[in-house]
Amino acid sequence: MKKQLITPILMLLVLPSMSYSEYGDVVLDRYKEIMAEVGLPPVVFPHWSHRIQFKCKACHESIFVMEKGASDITMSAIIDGEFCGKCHNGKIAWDPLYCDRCHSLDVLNEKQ
Amino acid sequence: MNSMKLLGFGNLVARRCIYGVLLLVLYYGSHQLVLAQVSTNEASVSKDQQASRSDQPPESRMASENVVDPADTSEYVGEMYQIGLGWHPAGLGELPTDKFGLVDWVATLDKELIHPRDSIDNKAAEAVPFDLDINMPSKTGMIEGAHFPHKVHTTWMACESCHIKIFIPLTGSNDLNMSRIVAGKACGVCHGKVAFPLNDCARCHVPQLAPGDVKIAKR
Repeated sequence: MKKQLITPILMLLVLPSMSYSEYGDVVLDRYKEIMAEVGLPPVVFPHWSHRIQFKCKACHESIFVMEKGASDITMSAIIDGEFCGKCHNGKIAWDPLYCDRCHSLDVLNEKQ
Repeated sequence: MNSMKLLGFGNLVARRCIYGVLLLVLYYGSHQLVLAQVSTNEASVSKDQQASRSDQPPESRMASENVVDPADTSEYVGEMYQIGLGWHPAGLGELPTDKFGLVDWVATLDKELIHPRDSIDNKAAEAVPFDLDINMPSKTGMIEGAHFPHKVHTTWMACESCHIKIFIPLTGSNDLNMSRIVAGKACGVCHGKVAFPLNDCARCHVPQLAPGDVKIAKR
């Protein structure tokens, strides 16, 4: 019985390396070149998972201005408690230590 | 079964090997397909895929459908989708959907399936939505006039998200037309990106409302 599960488990281990999209995803690639230098993929912000718990007004416009490039989001700003760091500080939501949760755009699947 | 015996393999081992190889071929095949589609950035998808896409209803989002047609703008809600990645097979499957199979957030909130909070501050009082319907007459007469319900928008959003950066709150002071909206101005700032797509025409162009009639409802 256990041996029969080997293939599905292997599949599950391999599959997550593939990126999918979901409603209202935003790609944050302002510092794409810098990120690429250190082999870090651009950030995918999943609007949907936040939208289930918060209305738009919780973040817009007080934390994030609704315009591409209007918010200069950097890791140092996040660690200082700005932008994502308002919640992602280890108290309200998980702290910004899990790189791959946000830097998740599969570079293989990136346009061109 | 008989053929396996003929090949001289142990039944279980052979079956497991064959399944494993098949699944791996399927997976890597689809991955390569995505790469090919995205790198060439071609609007045309092979005929087989087009056929399989049109055969299936919009709500069935299969993992094998991880390749999308870049020319198809009907479900352009999300930048990852625009890059060419398919919808997550599990994702938001449980929530009510619109005619494109996209999540209908208004219905989701109406049915109280989710309870999003107004603020990251627990103590903040919940704001009362502003109820004011605005009807905009059609400029061409080719389509019904557009209808803007403040209530739905203010349930989710704060006034300052739109006023006065995107819309001037004075009748006739905003140049509203579909070309601007499709270009990502006015309503197009959100619709088609994080809100329902622009080709869901009848959600704004509502026939039963009299053009130019502005209803000021109770707050």
